[in-house]
Formats: sequence, C-alpha cells, structure tokens
Amino acid sequence: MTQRADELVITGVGVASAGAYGLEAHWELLRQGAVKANATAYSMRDFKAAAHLKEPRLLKAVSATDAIGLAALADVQRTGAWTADAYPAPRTGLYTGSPGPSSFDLCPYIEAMEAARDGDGSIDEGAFGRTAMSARPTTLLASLANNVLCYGSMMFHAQGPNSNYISGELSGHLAVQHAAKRLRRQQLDYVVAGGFGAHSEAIDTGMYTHLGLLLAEGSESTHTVMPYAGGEDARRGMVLADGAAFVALERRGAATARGAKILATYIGGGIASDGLGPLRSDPEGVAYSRMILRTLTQAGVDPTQIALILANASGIDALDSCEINALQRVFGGLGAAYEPPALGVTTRVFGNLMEASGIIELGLVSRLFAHGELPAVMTAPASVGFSNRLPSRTPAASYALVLKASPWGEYSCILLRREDL
Amino acid sequence: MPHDPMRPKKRRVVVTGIGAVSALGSNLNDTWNGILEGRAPAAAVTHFDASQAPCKIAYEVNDFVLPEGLISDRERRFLNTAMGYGVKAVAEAMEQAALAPGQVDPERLAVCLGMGLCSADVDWCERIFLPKKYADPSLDEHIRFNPEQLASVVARLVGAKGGNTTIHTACASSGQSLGEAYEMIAYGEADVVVTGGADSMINSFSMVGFDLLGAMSKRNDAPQQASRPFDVGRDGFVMGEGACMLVFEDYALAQARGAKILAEICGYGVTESTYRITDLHPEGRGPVEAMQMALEDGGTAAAKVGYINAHGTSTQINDRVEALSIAKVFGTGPGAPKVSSTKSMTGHMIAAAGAMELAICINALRFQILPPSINVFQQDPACPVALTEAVATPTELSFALSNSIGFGGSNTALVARRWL
Repeated sequence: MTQRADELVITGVGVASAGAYGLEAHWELLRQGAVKANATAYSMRDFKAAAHLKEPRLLKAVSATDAIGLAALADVQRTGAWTADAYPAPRTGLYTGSPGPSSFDLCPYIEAMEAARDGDGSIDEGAFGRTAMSARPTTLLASLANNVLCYGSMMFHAQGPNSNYISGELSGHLAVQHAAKRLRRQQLDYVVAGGFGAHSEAIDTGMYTHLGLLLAEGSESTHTVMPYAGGEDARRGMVLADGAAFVALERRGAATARGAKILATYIGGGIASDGLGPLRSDPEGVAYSRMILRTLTQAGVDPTQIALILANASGIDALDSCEINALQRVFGGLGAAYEPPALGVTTRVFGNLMEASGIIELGLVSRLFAHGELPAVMTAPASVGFSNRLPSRTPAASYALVLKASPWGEYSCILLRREDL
Repeated sequence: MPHDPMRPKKRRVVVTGIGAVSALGSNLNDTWNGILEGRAPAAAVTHFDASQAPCKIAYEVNDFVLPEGLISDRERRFLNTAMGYGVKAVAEAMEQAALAPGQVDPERLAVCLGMGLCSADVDWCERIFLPKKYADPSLDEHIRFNPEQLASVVARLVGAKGGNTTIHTACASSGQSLGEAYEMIAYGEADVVVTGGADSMINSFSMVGFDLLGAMSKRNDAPQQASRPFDVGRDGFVMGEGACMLVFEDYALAQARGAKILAEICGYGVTESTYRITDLHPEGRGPVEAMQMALEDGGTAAAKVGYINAHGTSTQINDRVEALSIAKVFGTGPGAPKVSSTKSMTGHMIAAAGAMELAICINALRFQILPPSINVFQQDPACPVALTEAVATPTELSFALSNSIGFGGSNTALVARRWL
C-alpha cells in the first residue's frame, strides 16, 4: 500500500462516555461485551470533567454537556501527543458538533420564574424580566452551543478556520468531514474534530419517546438496543447516550516527522439527505446508497475493497431497514465468490451517542483490522447478509466505512484505510 | 495572485436568488427600501411582556404571515417562529432563482444554514418544564426548539438531496453558513446550495440573558435611536429578528440555464480569536485575519473593496475593535472603503445577521448605492473608519465585504463582486 506524505491521518482520539474514558477503555468494553443492563439512557450526570482537564477553570462558565466535550478534547491532547509548538496557531483548527440548547440551560432561571408567579400561581412574564436580573451574569453564556468550540480552541491554540455543527446525529461526522477538507485544501495543518452531546435528561428522553424513536422501558433483563433484529427480538427504538468523541487529523508527512502515532488514514466522506422533511426517511435507502457509492468512486475505491463497515445501527426499525437496504444496494450484487465485509455495530454497548456518534469508530478501525473479527457484542444478525470476520484478502481490502444516519433521512459516511498497528 | 498548485482549483460561485424577512419588511425589496430610507423600526417589545426588563425595545417582525402551501400542518409542529421566517425567505429566494425542475440534480443541491439557539419560552416552561410533565403528549413539539429542523423542511421544500448542514457560531452563524456553502460549490461538492440564516431571540430568556451581560441598549425612551454603531454614545445593541436566504450556484450552471446573476461570491475567511467568550482581542486578532483570508481567497486587492458592511453591533468593544481591525487591513487613507453597520436599521438579527448583511452588500453592488449610517450623531474617534453618509448615496462599487463576529470567538468575512 503506497503511503503519501500529503494524505490525511488520524493521530489522536479522545472519548468520554457513560461507560469509560479514553479509546482503550472503550475498546475493552467492546471486547468484554459490557452491555448496560436496564438502562433507559446512558447518563453522564455524575461525570467529573475537571479531573481530566489541565485547566479546570475552563469549566466555570460552561454547561455540564460542554464539560464532557472539553474532557474528550483533553483526551485528544493526551493520546495524540499534542504540543503547543507543533503547529502555528493560525494553521490549527477545531471543528465541533454540538447539541442545541438544553432545557438544563433554563435551570438558572427557575428561581426567577418561581419568584415571578403572581396571585393565581401563573408566571408573570413581565415580573420575570425583573426577577431574572438576580441570576448569574453569565447565565446566557453557559447555554451557547459553541462553547466547546471557543474553549477548545483556547486549549489547542487553534486560531484557524473552524465551525460548529448542530445537525443532530450527523454533527460530529460533519465536523470531521469539513475539517478534513480544510486540511486537504492546505488551509490548515492540524485540526481536531468531533462532537459531544448529553440528551439523557428527562425532557429529551420524553421528547424522543413521544416522537416514537426511543426504546420503551421494558422488563427485559438486558434492556439494550438490538439493531436489525426482527421477530420476537425486535427492539423498536434507540437508547440515548451522553458522550463526546474527537479525533485529531493532520498530514502523514508532518505526523511522522513529529513522531505521532498514526491510527488510520482518512480517505474521504460524503453526506446526503432524502429530502422528505422531518422524521421521514426513504425505506429503500436510495440516497443513502448513492452517497456511499459516490464516496467510494471519488476515492477510487471499489466496494470489494471494503473489509469493514461500522454501521449506524440505531435500533429504530425504519432507519435500520433503510440502512440494510442501502448496504444491499452497494454490496449485495458483487457475485457469489465475493466475501462480504464485516458489519459491526457499537450501539449495544455505547447507545446512541447522538452528536458524538460515529467518531469513536474512527479510532477503532485499525484495532478491528488487527483483531480480525468483531467482538461478539458488535455482530449483526446473520440474516442481514454480512460477516462477523474481516475478509482475509488484505491488502486489497484495507478500507473501512463508518456510517451515520438520522431519522430525519440524513446520512453521512467516512471512508478510512487501515493502519497496521 | 498565482494559483497555489497544492490547492484545488476553484469554481466560480454566483448568487441567483435572495429572500429576506426583517423588521423592515417581509421580503428583500421592502427590507432594502427601508435601508435606503434610513428607517429604524425599533419600538417597545410586543412579543412578550418586557415592561420590567432592563431592555424593553427591539426590531420586531410584525404581522408576519407564512404563505399557505409552503409547509404541511405536520411540519408546522416542527417549526418555531424564526423557522417560519426562514421558510418564507427560502420561498422568495427560490422564486427569484427560478430553478426549474430538472435544471439541477437533486443530489447536487444542498442546504447549509446558520441557526440561532431556538430557546424554549416561558409559556412552555410553565406548562412542561417546571411541573415536570415529561409524559405530556405535546412534548413531541419540543423538537421545534432543535435548530436543525429548518434545514430538513427546506430540503423537502426545494427538493435537495445533497445533504443538510446547520451551523451555530452565535452571531457568526450565517456568515459561516454562507462561507461553507460557497466552498461546497467552489470545490465541486455541490452545484446549488440554499444557504442563509434565521433567528429570533426576542423572548424573555434570551433578552434577559443579554441584559445580564450588559450587552443591550437601555435607551428605552428612544428606541429608533438606540442602535447607533460607531457613535460615541452607543450603549449596546438592540435585538432584531428575521431571516435571510440566498441561492448560491455554480457559475457554469447559472450561465447554462440563463439565470439572472445578482453577484459573485469571491472570498471567504474564517478564524478563531481564542481570547474570551464575549470580548474581542484588543488588537483585533481574529477579525483581521478573517478579512485578510477572504481577500486572499479570491485574489482581491484590499484597495478594490469599496464598501464594508461591518458587524457593528453598537456595543463599545465590538465597534472599537472592529473599526481598528478594518483600519489595519484597509488603511485609513482617502482610498479606504466606506463602512456602515445596517444593524441600526434591522437590529441585531444574531444568527441571521451575516446573511442579511451580505444580501445588503449584494444590493449595494447591484444598485451602486451605499447604505446610510444612521444614528451616528458623533462618530467615536476610537473608531477610525470612513463611515457612509447619513443618507443613501450613489457610488461606483466593484467589491463589498461583510464581517461577522460571534460570541465564542468565531469571525467570518465574505467578499462579493459586482456582476456586470
């Protein structure tokens, strides 16, 4: 496999979730099959972000959700051997995927709202304009959706191009793809990208439940998402998970020169939508499949060279069907002799990490290649027609696809090439 | 400027449609005419009871009606006020662009929007949040506070399958969305992108939030003169609301289909100040580099820029640092560009500001008119820029630049060129 100095590589991964902190700990969760039992959501309410930050003062004016994101960024610094002098500040960038404002952001106003109740017990909004002036001056700032972009940029001295995406489950993937484009266009030399979110609180779980997207709480001993399962095993919904995940990207030549450990090569990515409006996706997966094919074509990679697919696998029936149909359109007609790629899912262990989803997987690709087969907890049912083992035909099949899909009929994929660890 | 062989060659990007909703009017024409007339329709807030809040004034969109047939009843449940403005602005922009079915491959048509925070309101808090009614069936409507809903509806409205992107970088949100839309076309990822921004923070939570920060004007007794960018007596911004949407298109496609081209987008710069969440670096670190990047991106000499629509919020620090930044990049001599902030007439449209202000730049280029600088009673000597006159003025203009500067440190600059 020819390696070029200007190709993009992943050199650091930072992860914080309800299950663990750091990529290695998450890989161990998968290897051990550590499924959360009886979890309606994977909450990080008790997470202590300050323990992971060199400058805990950054947490003073941010939300608990932001704190999770900053802790994951600190992990990127640690695992990616980041140093302040490695790259000039104007050539360093940060791309984040974040949630919109949370109802938690309103908590500082609760006292003011209660103080503004009038005689009949209803809130006098006029009086609230006065009582709210006793809230902390920085109350609004904690609710900004770009806090992690701001403070994370300070952490990395990142003064170059940047952005913050609030596109639901695709947010982290969009951040990585846009960051990679900036590197490819020579507008940056080093960029950190990924996403974070925390939706396990009552309002969001209630909202997603009413929208019909969330796995209903049941009496099963193992209450976990079962992607692609049908019949009696069918689980009709996702499990929300709090968390954050970021990767560091740079060019191979520079990464090698500074002695950074390379985890995978970033080849390309793509996005698409069904264009059907909110909460509507095409069950046939046409736009989804065409996005995958377009990404492969642009990269000059044939479908037969894909050895590993890390799927979205949300557990939402309609979306899982759409995904399988999309994958069948791409990989289903390649002939009887074709050895299908391994199809892995992480949602049983991690839940749906929302804005952070599809990022841990970027760090796991080369480990899975080295491992040769999927840990049991990552396997998909045989009925979907893919393998649990990575094909042996390397080096030809050295590529992995990481997929994201949202119930809004929006899709993303990132194409990586393995790095021998 | 010679082409850097390491950077991919770019395609030309043109604007073929614009739609707007602001306090000045529910379409671009009314908004533009209001600016030419120097109107400042700020008044006492009516959207909620602001009578006891420190800032009681805003530039409100009143009597807004979303035309029938644009969205379904089902979609209406997913949208908040600002998103309604956005839908209307998209419809106007698409009508002007006159993209007929089949003229663009849906997979090459994308949506890229800058959206505001879409905070919940007091009524919702009273009904759901405070009593903890998490089993209330109406909780599904909470989704309208998720900013990405608009992009999904817009994609359905225009038939876009090329992907939806929603950006939030505070006041730089739509400046950034326009920049990314421009790059998607310039680097061949899409042929047409519907882009822009929508926002409404004229609600209790947002207004008191800015009040707590001391960022808003307290000139409640003179609302029409309260937003006074670059004036020595400025005391904060006045909230606006609305939307502005633009159709960006590959020049070759626009030319092939005979579209009317309104302007060319020829440069984008984006930086992070890495200073403080609300304050600007005193020497303009961030905005300076964003403007330089935008000029370099399109190979535009600074001397060719005749007009800058400044971020110009009317806060002490923004206007002083932005003016110093402009002076650093463009100089202060007789050839320096004319500068204005149209927030004195639209209010601060927050996440929609960047899109609205680029649209104003485009109209300035099209009609060869400099927007007025109203409410400048005495220019602050600490703001060394050549402000436009107090009335709209005919001019000769080839290039215009629009700045956006956001809480959180994101800065964008976009350069537009006159289309002849």
